[in-house]
Amino acid sequence: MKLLLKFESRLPTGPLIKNMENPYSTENKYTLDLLSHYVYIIHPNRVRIATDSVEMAKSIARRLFCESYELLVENSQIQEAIFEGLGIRTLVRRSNSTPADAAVFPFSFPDRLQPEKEPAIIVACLNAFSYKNLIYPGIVKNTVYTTLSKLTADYTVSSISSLYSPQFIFWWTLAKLVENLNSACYFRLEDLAMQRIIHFGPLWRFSYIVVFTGQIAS
Amino acid sequence: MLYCGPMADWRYEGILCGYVSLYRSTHDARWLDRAIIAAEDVLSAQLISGKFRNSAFQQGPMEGGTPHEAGVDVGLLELATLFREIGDEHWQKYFRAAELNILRYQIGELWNGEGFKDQPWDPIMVPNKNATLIEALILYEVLSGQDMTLYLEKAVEVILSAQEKSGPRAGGIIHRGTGPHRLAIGIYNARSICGLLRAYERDPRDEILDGVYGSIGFLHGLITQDGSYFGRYPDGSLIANPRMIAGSGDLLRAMAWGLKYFCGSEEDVLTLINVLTKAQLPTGGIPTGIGFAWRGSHYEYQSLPEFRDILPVAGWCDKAFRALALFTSQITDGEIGPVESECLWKGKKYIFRETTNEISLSELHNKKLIFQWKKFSNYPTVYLL
Amino acid sequence: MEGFVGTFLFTGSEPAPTRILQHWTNAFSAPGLEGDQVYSWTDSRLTLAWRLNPDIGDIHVGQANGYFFLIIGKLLLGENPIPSHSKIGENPFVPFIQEILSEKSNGIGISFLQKLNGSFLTLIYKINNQCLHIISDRFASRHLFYHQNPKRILFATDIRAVLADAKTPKKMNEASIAEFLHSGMIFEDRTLYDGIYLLTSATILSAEPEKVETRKYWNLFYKEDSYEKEDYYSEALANSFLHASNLFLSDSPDLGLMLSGGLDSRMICASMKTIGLNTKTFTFADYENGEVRIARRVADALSYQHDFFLRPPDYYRTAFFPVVRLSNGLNSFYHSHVFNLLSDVREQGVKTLVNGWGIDLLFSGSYIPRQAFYFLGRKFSQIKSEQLPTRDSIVCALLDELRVPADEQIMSLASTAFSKIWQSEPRDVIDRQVRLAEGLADIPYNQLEYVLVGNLSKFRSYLFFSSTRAYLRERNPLFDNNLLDLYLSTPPAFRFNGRAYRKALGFLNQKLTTIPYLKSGIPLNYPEWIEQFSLMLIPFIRGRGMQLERLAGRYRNYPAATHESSYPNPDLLVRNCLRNEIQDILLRGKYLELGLVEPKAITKILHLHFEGKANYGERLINLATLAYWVEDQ
Repeated sequence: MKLLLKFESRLPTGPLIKNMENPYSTENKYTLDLLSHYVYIIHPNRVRIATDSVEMAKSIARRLFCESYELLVENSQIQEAIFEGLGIRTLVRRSNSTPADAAVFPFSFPDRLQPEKEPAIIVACLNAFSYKNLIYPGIVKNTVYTTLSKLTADYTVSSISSLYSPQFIFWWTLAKLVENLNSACYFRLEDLAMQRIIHFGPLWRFSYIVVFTGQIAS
Repeated sequence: MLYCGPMADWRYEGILCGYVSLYRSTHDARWLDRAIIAAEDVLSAQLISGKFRNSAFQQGPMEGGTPHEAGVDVGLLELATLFREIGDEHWQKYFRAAELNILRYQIGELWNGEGFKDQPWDPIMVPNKNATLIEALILYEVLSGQDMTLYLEKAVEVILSAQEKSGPRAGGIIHRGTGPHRLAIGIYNARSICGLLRAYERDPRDEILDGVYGSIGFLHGLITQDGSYFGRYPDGSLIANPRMIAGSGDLLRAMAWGLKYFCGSEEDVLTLINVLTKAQLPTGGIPTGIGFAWRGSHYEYQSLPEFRDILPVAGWCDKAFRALALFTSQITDGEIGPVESECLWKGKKYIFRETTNEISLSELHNKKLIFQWKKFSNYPTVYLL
Repeated sequence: MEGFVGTFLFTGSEPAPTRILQHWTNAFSAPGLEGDQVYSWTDSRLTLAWRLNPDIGDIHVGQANGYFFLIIGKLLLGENPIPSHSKIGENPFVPFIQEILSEKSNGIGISFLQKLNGSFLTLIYKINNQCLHIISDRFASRHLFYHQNPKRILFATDIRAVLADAKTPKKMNEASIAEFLHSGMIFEDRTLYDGIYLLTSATILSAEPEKVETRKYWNLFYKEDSYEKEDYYSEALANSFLHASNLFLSDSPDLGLMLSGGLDSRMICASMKTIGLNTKTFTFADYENGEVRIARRVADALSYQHDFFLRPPDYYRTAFFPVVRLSNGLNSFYHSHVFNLLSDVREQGVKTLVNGWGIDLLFSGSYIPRQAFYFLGRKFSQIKSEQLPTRDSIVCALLDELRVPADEQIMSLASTAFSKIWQSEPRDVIDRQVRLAEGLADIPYNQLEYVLVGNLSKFRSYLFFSSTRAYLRERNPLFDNNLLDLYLSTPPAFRFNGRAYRKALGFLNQKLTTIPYLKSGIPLNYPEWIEQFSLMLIPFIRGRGMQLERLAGRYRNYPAATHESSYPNPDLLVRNCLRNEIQDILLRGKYLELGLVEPKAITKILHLHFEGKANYGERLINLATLAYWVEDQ
């Protein structure tokens, strides 16, 4: 029991990244679902979960284990937590070993971890050019452009989608304005917002979370 | 609809209980075989903690779902009860799995002395979730011989204390998880009724029957010929959309059970059976509802169904299956066929297709796919929703 | 409202939990009335739940010598009230049991039943051999609805309690619907629903473990063999009124009398004064009209307190829904002229509300058809009865009296499937009733009245007084056997135009006969030829006067008020006060799913009515009552 509790999350509150680690947060749920979908499309055999956050790694492991991928994690602590909590076996990535077929970077690129020549990467990052910095100035440091620029010449971006676009924010704001006034309006507007939580168009430039995939050049 | 993989959630409640009902009424071994396959799915998803992998239906891949894991326990225990009745020792395997979940998670982490919480960190006690637990605990009590009175009385109290005694929603049980909106939701009232009826059969107290009677009266006002209204707002106005179709299976079960105690009407039971059977698609699935495009609105949506309406979902269809199985004494094989139908998504028309291999949504004119999921895979191949 | 519901099981059936029957009594509860108490009694065969209100106190329950009793209303055994006034410790039902036991027959004997007097519903259950008897009075003035299936018989004083059982089918009876839409009443023992019946007058329903039977213990036999002079009947009527008032009212607390100033309420008022009863008197109206003024004069003449209750402008709109619920699907809500004011009456300290409803039918010959003549396009009734030489003429006369006006538009209302029964049923049922009457009376006027008196509790205005039971104890001397026997022996000629009745008033209180009568504007003791003249002139003058007053801006808040009485004009009521409610329910209600009416025809009829091009008020009210009833179920 004690071992289990060591890795069971007390849901974190507070700073941004810790919110993302909360497996019940909307940011976590939809972003990681999207990341996992992109992993699926690539059809890899070996997938690197490129995060040093135990909770984040567990969230991704929950989504990927059903595909029988060989999952590589960053350290033994994460490996132990995933096995004890979820019964999923993973391998600890060694820096000199063959790269995985794909690497998933949930909010860990470029500040915490880098690609190690995986043929495909799927990255989720925060974008300072979004509603978040309007409400909390300076809370997001990097723009998506900064993040993209950190990709070395080895990678070309093959697709970009985003979450919490201006479209979503518009409807969500309206919903919040009426929440205490009229429940029927609130649920209608909230639904209109949630239908737009994932955006595949050009407004990724101003969305809070951007998810892009990259292919290694030749 | 991004993660389409397996979940050990409340769908197994309906699946397992449905198979058990079919076996009881037909004594056809194939239903028992299917029940075993389903039960083994669930057992393989159980973690050391006692929780079930990916059990949070509405949340996505996450363990510890409520009332989903309690629903799984109900399914396992119904199967265990059947096995014990027929003298098959395998009952212990399913019983132990449910017991592990009940003792370690439900009681170990969710019990707070006054009822069962929504999550270990979330103190809200949701009536319909306590109701599912009542069913699980009573089944467990019978099989184990352990007295669950302490938990049951409090769980019943959680439900009854959330019931409106008067006013435009008299009899309706408030879903405490809806915060300031205080919604009284039909499908969850139905689950609460079933919990109360199970408790009443164990301990026939008047206040429990009062609660059942009142809530069935509330449900009566939600039943229509093409589904059940979602519920009512605090002022009594209708949440007319979505009208639940597949999920109305829980209403059917509650209303049919209530008839035994002179609560409700046969007309409502027949209407609900008709709702489910009339709506069934050629693929065998049952649409989730009608009116998701106007979710929350007071006014009935009457236009083309939306994608979310027509999409059959395991976690709702199981309710229909479980309820309809109660009325079935003979099964004949039927023909499965594809479905192709116009529907709306974000205000635009698309073609919805379902075959034995896939579900897809494509544009009307150029057939461009915006969603494609190949059955038995865990993710869609195309997702542009 | 006080009432009860019960199930009696046949062999091998499972009982409904007592708690559920207690819930079914919720159907009886009156809006805003507090203090209701719910009780139950059960054995292996009978389960009973009843709701009583200590302030009303019109339900009496007891057990003695192996019998269980439940009595609702006023019951007398001969002239002795049941339960009897007994000493402390003495069971008040003992005299009742003694009477039953003195019968030689095993069950409840005819001679015992014929001694029962009053306005009551009585339930007697012999506990040892599990035999149940439910007895209605001679008018079935207290409703009992019942439904039987192979497993049980379910009975209740409110049809909603019967409908509450899941096992009660809810298929509507088209013949009943046709009658209701035609005349606002459903004849015979039928209700709106197939299989749910109303216990008819003077009937005992007996249930045993293996069977149920109903039998009539008394019938309306008209005594036509020999007649006395008019004065004989007048004097007898005056004495009967005194006797009935004494029996029915003297032991009731805190009396109040609904005083319209008409002949019926004057008679009751005079009787109460003569026997020394104190009462408050009330008149209900939309404004201080002629009725209010006359009623006040009557009260002053007898030195009784008089209060005028003003109906608020939105009265019928707010009464619509609760009254339809109360109606059991038998009566149009239009006749709920006092329902929403009853709480105010209670606040005046009244516990028993006395009314004279229906007495005019018996002693004023109100429905005996009158000859008429036409002048300048207007119809004027004469104080001269029309001949009824054949059965068909009786049927036509009744149809004329009961039929709500209909034209081609109204006839187009019925859907194709329903139109045949819509057209034929009203005549067919009246014809059946007249044929029944032929076995009980020879004189055509008696046959005509039999149809109405024999269906008194289904009468369209029944709700007017029965709704008062929701909040108060209701009493009416009409339900005295003695008075009824007198009616049956009074020749129609003396009943017509209340000839003997007016003189009876003179016997009780001469002064009251000098106060003008609203309709004619002249005192009741004037000769008939003057009355005839007045009946032509006075309404015309009053009508023009009211028109001028309206032009001057009076009665702005009461567009449906008339000079004729305190009841609103139904056409104006629908057009001006209830437009939205009626439009809404008729165009969008669930009743449309019954497939009985053509939606396009409703739209047209509403349009014509609201534009003032036609008057369909009563029809629309009947239809709206039905529509809302269906909606509420």
